[in-house]
Amino acid sequence: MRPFSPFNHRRDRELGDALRDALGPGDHLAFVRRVLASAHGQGAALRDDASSWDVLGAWSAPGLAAAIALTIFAVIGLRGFEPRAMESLGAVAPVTVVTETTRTAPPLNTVDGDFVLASFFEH
Amino acid sequence: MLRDLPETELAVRAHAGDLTAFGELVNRYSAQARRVARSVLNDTDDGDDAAQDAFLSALKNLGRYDPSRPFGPWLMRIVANAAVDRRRRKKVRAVEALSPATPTSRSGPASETDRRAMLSVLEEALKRLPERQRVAVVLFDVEGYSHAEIAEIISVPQGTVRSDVFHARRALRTALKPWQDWKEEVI
Repeated sequence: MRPFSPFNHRRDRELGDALRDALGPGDHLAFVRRVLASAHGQGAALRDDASSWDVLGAWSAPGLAAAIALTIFAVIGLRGFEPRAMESLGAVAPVTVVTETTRTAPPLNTVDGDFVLASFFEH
Repeated sequence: MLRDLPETELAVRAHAGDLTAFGELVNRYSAQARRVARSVLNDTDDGDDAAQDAFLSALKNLGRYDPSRPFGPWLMRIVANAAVDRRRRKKVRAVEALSPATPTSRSGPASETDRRAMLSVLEEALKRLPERQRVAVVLFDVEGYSHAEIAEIISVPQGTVRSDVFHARRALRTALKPWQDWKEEVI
């Protein structure tokens, strides 16, 4: 080895290379496999911050499905209901209940005069 | 390809549950992590166990990693802590004294044998160093971390790191001196 001052602020590459060999890690792939097998074994339980996001994530799928289903039902329902609803609205005549009060009292708003008169004469 | 991705991206993916991204991080850092753990523990098997603990701990705590900073020092800090924890738990036996057998009086062994002998001397000299000096010199001269990064990894002031690296180098170079003198004589 060549002389190298321990005061030198740069890396002592020669010493570093020798140390790397001395601390040689051995079978690299076997170690990687071992760590990954352990990580797989422990799975998601390893992640301590999985709480909120994982819960939200778990909820998101059924939540989205339910929202989509509701939207579809709402759209279909409105489309199916709309024409009939308009028809029935057109068919409905204003209903006026004739009582003693309504006979004597003047109409408060636009009431069909013929209808009221006809009811009066019937009685 | 995962190999082309920066470590910060891999860390983000691993945090999201992508174990292949985590595997790439393990692939990139396993050698370094094992060397650092071994430098703390002075034992190959214990070092590997500590390195494994560290990777699993890193996976668990990836949410605490700041992607704006380099991944290596963050991981090495976990490795150093895992190794120290393991040593505390196991109460590692006292380091044996270095046998003074150096090849000064031997005649002309083959170069591979020379190298093995030198590495053996170096390994023993490394074992005799105080733990912090071992870690500091390995992180600086082997792994290439800066004094500032090492200070952060082992939680000591930068001046202490400089001092530790200096003392460790001097001790290691001194241990290797007889071997070096012998090599010069042979050459």
